[in-house]
Amino acid sequence: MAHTLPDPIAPGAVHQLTSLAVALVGATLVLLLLVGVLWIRRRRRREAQDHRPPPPGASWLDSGASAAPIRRLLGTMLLFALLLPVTVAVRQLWPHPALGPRLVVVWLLVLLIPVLTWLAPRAGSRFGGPGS
Amino acid sequence: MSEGAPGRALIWTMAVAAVLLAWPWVLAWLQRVRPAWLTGTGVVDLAVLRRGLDHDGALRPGTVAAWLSLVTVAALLPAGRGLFAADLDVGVFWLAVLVVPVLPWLDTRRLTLVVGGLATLALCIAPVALRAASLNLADLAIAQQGGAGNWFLVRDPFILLAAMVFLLTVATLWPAPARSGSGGGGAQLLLDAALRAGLPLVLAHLFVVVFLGGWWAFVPFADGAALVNSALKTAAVIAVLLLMRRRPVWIDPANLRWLLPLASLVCAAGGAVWMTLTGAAW
Repeated sequence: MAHTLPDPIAPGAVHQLTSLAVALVGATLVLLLLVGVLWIRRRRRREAQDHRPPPPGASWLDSGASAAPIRRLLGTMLLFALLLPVTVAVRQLWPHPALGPRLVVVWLLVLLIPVLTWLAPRAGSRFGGPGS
Repeated sequence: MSEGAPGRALIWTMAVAAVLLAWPWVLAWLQRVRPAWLTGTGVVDLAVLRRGLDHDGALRPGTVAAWLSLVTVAALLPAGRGLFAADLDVGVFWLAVLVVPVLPWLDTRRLTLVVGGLATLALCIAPVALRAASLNLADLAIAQQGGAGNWFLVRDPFILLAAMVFLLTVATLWPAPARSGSGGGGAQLLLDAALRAGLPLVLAHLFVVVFLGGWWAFVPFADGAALVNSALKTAAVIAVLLLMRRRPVWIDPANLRWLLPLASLVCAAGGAVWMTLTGAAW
């Protein structure tokens, strides 16, 4: 009868360490939310004091360079928010019997969406869009 | 088997972080309606907190590190069945590790006293962990379920002494008010206020988990309201700490030089001897 070596990793250890890491991520998310909310609040107060209402129909996506800081912040928060489900899904499905390595390509394509959303207004302003 | 659920960990941690952010506002309101209750605590005024909402200020790395540590520690403390971020087998050890980044934020001028204070807290927890035969935080509370008569501090005089030393140490470690002009603005000020108000709250909850049976009620039939039990006990401990803060002799930082550490050593050693003699050691 073959004797198998004991698993060097204790049962439940990966779950515990994952939960601990997620707790740290949660604390970071709240910190980012706080910074984002304060930033938006101060920006609105500054605009109100300068009596500069935004033009009708314009969105922060069209403002190009002036919306870059908030776009960066929201992009970072979105990446953090995507990190958990991506990690959980990859861990559960890897290696998928049918998809295998192609699963990584699928998730990379999914992640490409927020990255392109973040880049598009910059590209628009660079090539003579409304925000340039 | 101890397991964690990442989704629950994230939601609980964010809820705990929100409570810690709101806590200084609660204390500031309490100071406005009952200023005598908060004597000697240096609670940030409501006007200063509101100013933090409107003014800009750079975040300091030490404050961010202390915030992440304190929130994680608070999220690890169980407040009921399933009300924790992670059920760690060596949770007490993790607390000792995670609290390290808070030390330099607490007081760099008297770092040795702060380290001594935290070592004292660890020695006070040691006899409880020994008696419960576990470093898991939930196990410390579960071992004392079934009403106040099952609390270790009722059954073991050295653990009772350890509980008193723990409270005195927490009252002494209560963060001093921020030096004028050093509070910054914006997120820095709000985080600093949350840390100053939140550290005693987190240590009070730790006291409840370790010495007062955690979320288990005073009487067995009320065990269902876990979160309410935890909150009521933590509020009672905060009230005791505030009473202690009104007596300067009890919160003299000089006590952390040798008196309180020696007392905690006596508790740990005496608790081990007591458990051996009474057969309570597993």
